[in-house]
Amino acid sequence: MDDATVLRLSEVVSGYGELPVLWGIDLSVTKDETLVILGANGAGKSTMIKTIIGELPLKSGKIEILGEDVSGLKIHKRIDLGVAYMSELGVFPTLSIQENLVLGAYNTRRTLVKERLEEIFGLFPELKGRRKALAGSLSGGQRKLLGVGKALMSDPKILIMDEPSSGLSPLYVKEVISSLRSITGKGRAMVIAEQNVSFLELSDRVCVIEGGKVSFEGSTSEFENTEVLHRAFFGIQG
Amino acid sequence: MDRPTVIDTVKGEPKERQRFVFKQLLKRKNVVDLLGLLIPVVAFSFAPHFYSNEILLISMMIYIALAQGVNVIYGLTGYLPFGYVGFYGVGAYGTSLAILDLHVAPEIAIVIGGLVSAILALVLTPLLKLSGSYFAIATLATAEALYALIANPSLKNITQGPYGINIGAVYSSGGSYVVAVVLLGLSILTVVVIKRSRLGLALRAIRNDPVSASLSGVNVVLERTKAWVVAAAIAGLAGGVFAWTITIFYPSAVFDISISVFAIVFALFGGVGTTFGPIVGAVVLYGLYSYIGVTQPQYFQLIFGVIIVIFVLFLPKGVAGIANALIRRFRMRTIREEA
Repeated sequence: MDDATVLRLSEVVSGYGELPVLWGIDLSVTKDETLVILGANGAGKSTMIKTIIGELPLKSGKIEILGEDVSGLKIHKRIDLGVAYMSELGVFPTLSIQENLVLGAYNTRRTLVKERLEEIFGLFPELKGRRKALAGSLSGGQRKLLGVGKALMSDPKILIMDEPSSGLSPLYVKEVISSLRSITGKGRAMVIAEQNVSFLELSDRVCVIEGGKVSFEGSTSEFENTEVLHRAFFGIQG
Repeated sequence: MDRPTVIDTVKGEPKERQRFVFKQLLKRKNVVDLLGLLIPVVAFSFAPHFYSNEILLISMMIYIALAQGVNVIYGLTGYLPFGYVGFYGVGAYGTSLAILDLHVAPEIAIVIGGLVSAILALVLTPLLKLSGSYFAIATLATAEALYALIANPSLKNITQGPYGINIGAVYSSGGSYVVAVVLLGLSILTVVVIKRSRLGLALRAIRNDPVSASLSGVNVVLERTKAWVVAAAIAGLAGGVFAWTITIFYPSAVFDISISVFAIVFALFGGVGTTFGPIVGAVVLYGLYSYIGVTQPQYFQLIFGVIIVIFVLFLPKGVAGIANALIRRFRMRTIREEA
C-alpha cells in the first residue's frame, strides 16, 4: 500500500445473516480525496459503509485503514485510528448540542476539545447560540450540520458519511453540501454514500454500486461523460 | 452579542478570571450538585443531637448510598439490578471475615468489603451482555446463588454458614456512625463526579443508543463495566457499614431481596439520573416505612411494588422529573405573561 492510501477494501464480501449483499468489493481512497459512492436503494451502499466501520462483520476479504488491517477490530477501535462516521441519524437527540460535539471528540485530549469546540462553532455559528439546547430540538437540516460538526470534532483522517441528504429539503441539501465543501481536502479523505447526484459537486472520484458490486469507478469527469450510466441509474439526460 | 467563551475568559485578566470561576460556581447545575452533597452530609452529621435512634439514621444513610448505587447502574446505563443486594451481602461478609480472619481495623475491613464486591462485579461482567428483564432476573439469580453459597452449612469453617456472623468485639456506635456519614458523602460525590465526567456523557450516549455511541469512539463494554463495578463497590461498602453497625447478623439479613427492591424504589421515586432524587426517595420513603411500615410491613411491600410499576412505566424521571416539569411550566408562564 502506498503512503497516500488511507482506506483500502480488498475482495470484501459482507451482508446480513447468511446472505451476502456485497460480492467482492475492491476500493481504495487516498488522503485529500473525496469519494462519492452512488447507487440506488438496496444497492449495498449502507452495507458497505457499515462493513467499513465494523457495524457488520466481514465474511471474507480485507479492510485496511491507514495501513492497518482492521478486519477483526471493534467499531470504537476503528474510530480511534482516525475515522469519523456520520450516520443517517447523526446525533443523540437527548443530549445537548455541546454534549454531542464533546462526544464526537471522545478520545481527544481535554485541552484540545475546547479549541475544537470553538472551531466548530466558528464553522456553524447557528449552533453556537444554542449550545445548551437539546439536539432533538434542532430541525432536520441543523441536525445534519451538527452531525458533521460532531464528526469533525475528532479531526479525523477519514470522514465517512451515510446519506447526509436523507430527509432534507433541496435547500438544506445545498447548505449541507456547501458546508462540506469548506472541509474537503486539507489532508482529510471523505467517503460519502449518496443517492443524490448533487453530491458529485464535492467528489474527486465516483464509485457506483449495483447489485452489491462496483459497476463503475473513476474520476468525476469520467463519470460525467458516461451517459449510459447516467441514464441507467438516475434518469438524467446527459 | 456572543457571550464570552471559556477560552476567551480563561485567557483574560486575573480579576475577570476570578469572576468567571465564581460565576461558574453559581450556575444552577453546580449549586444543585453542591447542595445535594452538603445538605445530607451536614444534616446526618448533626442529626444524632436531635434524634437518638442512630441505627435508623445509619440505615437511612445506607439506603441513600444504595439508591445512589442504583442511580449509577440504572440511572446512567438503564440496567435494572434486582440482585443488587448480592454485592451488599458480599460486602458485609467481606468486611466481617476481614475483621475475624485478618484482624484488621473495621474501617479497613469495610474498604476490603467494597473491594471484594468490586472484584465480584468484574467477574460478573458477562451479565452485562443481557438486556432488560433478562439482566434483572440474572442478577436476582446470582444474588440468590451467593446467598446459598455463603449460608451453606458445609462452609461453616469459612463463612460460619447459616449460623451468622458475630463481630461484637469491634462494636463501636460512634465509629460506625462516622463511617456511615463518609459512605453517604462518598456515594453522592461518586454520582456527581460521574455525571459530570466524560464517563457520564458516554453512559448517557450508550443509554441512548449503544451502536451510535461506539460509532463516536466510545468503548461501550468498558464504560458499562466501569459503572457496574462502581455501583457494586458502593453496595459492598454499604454492606460493610451495616455489618459494623449491627455486628451480629444472619446471612438472610444481608441477602434479603427486599434490600434491592427498597434501593430501586427509593431511586426511582426520587428520580434516577439526578443527584437529589435518590436522597429524597430514601429519606421520604424509608422515613415513612420506619414510621408506619414496621407494624404493617405487608402493605409496604404492596405499595412499593405498585410504585415500581408506576414509576418505571409512567414517571421514569421520578419526583425530580415532576419538579423539573413544574419549574419549566412556571418559567414558561412567566415568560408568556411578560410578553
